[in-house]
Amino acid sequence: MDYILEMNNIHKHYGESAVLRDVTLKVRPGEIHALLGENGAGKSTLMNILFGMPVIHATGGFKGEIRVAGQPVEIHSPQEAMKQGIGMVHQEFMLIPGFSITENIKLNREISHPNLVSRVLGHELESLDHTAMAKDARLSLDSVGVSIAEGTRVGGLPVGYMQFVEIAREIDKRGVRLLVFDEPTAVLTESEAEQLLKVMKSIADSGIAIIFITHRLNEVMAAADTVTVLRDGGLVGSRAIRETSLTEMAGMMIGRGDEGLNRVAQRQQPLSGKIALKVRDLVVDMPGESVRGLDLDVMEGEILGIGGLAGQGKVGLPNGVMGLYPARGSVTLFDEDLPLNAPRQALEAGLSMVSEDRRGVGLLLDESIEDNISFNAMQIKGSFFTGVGPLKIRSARQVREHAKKMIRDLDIRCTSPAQASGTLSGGNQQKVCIARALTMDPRFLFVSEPTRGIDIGAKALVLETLVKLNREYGLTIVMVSSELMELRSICDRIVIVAEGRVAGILQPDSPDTDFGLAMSGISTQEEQQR
Amino acid sequence: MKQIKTQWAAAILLAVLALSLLATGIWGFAQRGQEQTQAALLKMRNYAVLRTAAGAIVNDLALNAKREARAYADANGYSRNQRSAYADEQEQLARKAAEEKYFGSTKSLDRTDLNLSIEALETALTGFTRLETQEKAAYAEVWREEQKAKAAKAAEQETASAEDGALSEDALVVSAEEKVDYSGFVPSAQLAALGETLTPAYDAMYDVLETSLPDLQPAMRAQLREPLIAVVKGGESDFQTEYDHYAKTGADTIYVGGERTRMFIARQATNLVVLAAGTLVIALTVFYYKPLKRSLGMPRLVISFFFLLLLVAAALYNINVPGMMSTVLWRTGMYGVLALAMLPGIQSGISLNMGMTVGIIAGLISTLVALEMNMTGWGAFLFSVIGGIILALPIGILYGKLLNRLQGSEMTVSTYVGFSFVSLFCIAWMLLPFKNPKLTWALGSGLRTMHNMSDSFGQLLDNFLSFTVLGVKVPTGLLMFFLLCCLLMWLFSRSRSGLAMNAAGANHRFAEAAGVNVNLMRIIGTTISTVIAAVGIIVYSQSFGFMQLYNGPKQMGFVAASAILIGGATVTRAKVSHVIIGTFLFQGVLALGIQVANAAIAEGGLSEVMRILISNGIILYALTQSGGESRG
Repeated sequence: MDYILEMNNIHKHYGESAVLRDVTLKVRPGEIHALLGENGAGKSTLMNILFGMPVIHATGGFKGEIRVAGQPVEIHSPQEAMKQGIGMVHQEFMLIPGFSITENIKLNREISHPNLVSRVLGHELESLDHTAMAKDARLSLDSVGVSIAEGTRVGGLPVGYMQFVEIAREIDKRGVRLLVFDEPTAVLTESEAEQLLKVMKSIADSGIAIIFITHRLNEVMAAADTVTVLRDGGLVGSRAIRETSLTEMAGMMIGRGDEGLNRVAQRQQPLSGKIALKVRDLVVDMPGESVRGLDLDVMEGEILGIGGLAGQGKVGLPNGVMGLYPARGSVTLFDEDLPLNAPRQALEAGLSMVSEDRRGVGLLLDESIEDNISFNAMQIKGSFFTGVGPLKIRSARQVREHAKKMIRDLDIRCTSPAQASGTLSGGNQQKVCIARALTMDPRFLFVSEPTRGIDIGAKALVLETLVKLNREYGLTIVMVSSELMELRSICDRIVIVAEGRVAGILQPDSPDTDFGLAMSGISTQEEQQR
Repeated sequence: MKQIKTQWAAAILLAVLALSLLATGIWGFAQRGQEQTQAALLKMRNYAVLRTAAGAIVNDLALNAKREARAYADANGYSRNQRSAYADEQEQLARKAAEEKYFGSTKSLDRTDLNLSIEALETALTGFTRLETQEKAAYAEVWREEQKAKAAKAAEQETASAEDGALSEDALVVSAEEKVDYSGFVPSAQLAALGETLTPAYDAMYDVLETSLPDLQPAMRAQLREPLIAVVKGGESDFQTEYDHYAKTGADTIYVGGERTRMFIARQATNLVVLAAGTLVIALTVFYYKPLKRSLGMPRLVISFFFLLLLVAAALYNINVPGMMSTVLWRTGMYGVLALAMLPGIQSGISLNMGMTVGIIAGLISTLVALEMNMTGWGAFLFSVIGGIILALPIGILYGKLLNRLQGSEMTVSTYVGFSFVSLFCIAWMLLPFKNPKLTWALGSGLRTMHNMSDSFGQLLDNFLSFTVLGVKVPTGLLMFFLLCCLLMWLFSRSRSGLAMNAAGANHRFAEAAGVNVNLMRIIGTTISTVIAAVGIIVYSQSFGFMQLYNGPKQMGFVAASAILIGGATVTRAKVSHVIIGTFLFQGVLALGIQVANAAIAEGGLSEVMRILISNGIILYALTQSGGESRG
């Protein structure tokens, strides 16, 4: 038995799009196997397949073979995975706050002995053996190096401890042979993370294999024995850690090189060199995407890309500047101070934004295309109104004419300007959002995740539109995107944000390695010092 | 594709059914005029007369048999139980034998002398019947007025509990149609004299009957006078009533086979035509199902359908349909403005403003002030409306601020605010310093529960420019006022603030991103809603004719919410058209539903149960439908 787990030639489609293509993952007993990849590389899908999650079967299953300890198995539900000795430490804690640690660890696997009632009414009513349960829990807690009393309620524990309780619960399961850690260090402090890595090593030493999902290269180097890198649903390769390096891993993770890169034509005139937007020490309190002290200068007339992994704060920047989430710091637009937390002032100053949350913030889904396009201009600039006596009411004619022009200019595919925007395809919805921003005649445009959830053809059109706006009208654009390829194809410079700060400012043709390192929070200079 | 074919097939089948129903109905109408049918009807009349007379003989024989059986039993020393059982048995046997003997024969139906004598009696009856109908109608009018006054007075003088003080206008609608109690009816001297002149004609007819039924006893001449006259009197009215009248005695059984079917179709001709119209509407609905569903939405389709169904049922039950339509129009105008008050609430994102009662109370106060000062007519109305608006403005702003502090559960909060405001004012109505004796309790201080508006501005709008067309009374002023309010609201919703308010309600994050002050928009929406509610209750009161204090306004929010939801609004999205369609459909279904239910099940108190069931059921149904439906 060489491998505890083999997942061979896994293919998975969601509808038309392939999310996994011929991926193979082999894990030896007692090793820590890192699974590395950007957002959307296919890590989660692979793990969902391993655990037989309902979402996989609901979307037509997968192709390929899973072997546990050399035996081919079919896993149809998380319960079956558990029977095979596969456990999961979740990223979001699945603990009951009102229960003690012991109760949480032993939930649904309680040790009990029969009593009078249970003999009559079945084993559901057996008495709990608290002593034995506490003993078991203590053992598991000790093995993860947590000294806290097993009877403590989970509710008040620090986040780090909850993570350990979660791990202790998985270890306590009898016959666990493989544990999956899904980004376990994401919520931990540095010292907690270090301890976690130690615990993982000691678990591995006891013979349990670990799949360690992360995008922090440092931790992979520190803890893992083997690393498998996924990219865009395909397998890039597996390496033993001692045979690889940080740079190689970063390259593998990003590594498209110039393949498929469609760099747009270089600009004719050089930039004026003036600063359009100056951001100093910006802190944005946006849940899941908080910015923690970011400094940035945007040049007039450029397209600046902002990249980085999900949850690192790249989306927080435009939302903070536009006043949509509580923010602190100083922002200057064309040498004028911009008040924060004031969307109206931001819009009046000539800023516009195309939101990443198209359906939530970007559109009134039940309203028509024309109303969506004209709304901001009507509210901020008072356009498209006509007088009826003392009242000023919406001019249906002006709104319609403008909408028609925009539909023509941006090539929005629709039946009429009166069609509800919610019934449009993703790409056309995005164009409606852009049309609304343009109706404001902005001096500065934020575009946040413009290609999220739209098909490839529409992506290219949206990007083309942005380039056209920049080249023809000299519009300064800041584009936030999770797709590095997009950024590299149209941006003048690319800022990588990690942990709420700027981790590096790179050129579109910088090597993959630099992008990979910056994304995992290692600034290029830091690496050079090593 | 397959679905479309089924749809077509169903539509065509239904259309064919409708057409055949229509054809049958028309054929039935044509038959009514035929000589053959008229002869058959005469035959039925003869049968009815003979049958009624024979009924007396049968009863007589049966009674005799019973008497004899008792005597026999006594003679043979039967026990008490045995005696009564024996008597009953003998009576049954005798009745059966007599019925066979007297009811079975139909051979004497064609007798010319009988025909002629009945005809003579009928002619003699004409004048009498006409006068009697007139006198009875006059009596009924007086009786109804008395009942209405009694009901209002009872409510006005309800001192014990304000809880029961609320008088439902449905109760008024129903009582107007209630069966008139004729026990107090006294015929005039002229009528009595006319009645005397009937005797020769009756005697002549009875003589003919005696030759046909030789077993008639002399005593029965007087005894049978009333029932026989009642049978013959039926001849006055149209075919349908006449047929039903004779059929009551079993006259429809004298025919068999084709003849019977023919008579039946002739009788049902009107109903067949009504059913044909109903089926045709169903066929058209099935045919245009897709576009109808898209433009109206499923709930509206179902409810409109129900409305039509009720109309057909009303026609079948012989309910006065134009009268019902008048009621529906009246109630639409009466409740319309109140339902409109829901609109700005929904548009600004506070969902259903159940707390619109705060505005209602502002409207009530200003009306009370107008009444206190003995104002009347248009002056009183305008004073109340303007005063209501001025009062409602600050209340609405404060209420809006309260709702802003409790975001996320506005519907619960507003319901409780509404209820507690009503309760607070139950105390206030007792304490407010109104002095006009027309408003206060006869003994002690405090305002009465019900206030009759007839001497101030009751029905002012209703009667303004009102006209009657095809029996439907159109309350022009009322409807115009309602539509004017709708127009103003529509204009506002096209203005900058109106658009911003709508966006704030539809998607507050979108609105925020566009620089809209969402909280301010919510306050504006709430305030407008409150102001419209104040105007709404004034319109309602003048139209209803009574103003209700204390717990009267408590349920208004629910009525308004039902109306706008039924019109196609969801708790997050609403348009002016939803208010108009919704109020019409809701009040239409309600008014017709109560009438039809009353006709179908003659039980008192059902109407109120129906009203509650329908209005709350509709809220529930509309809430379950508020998922997506309205898109597009």
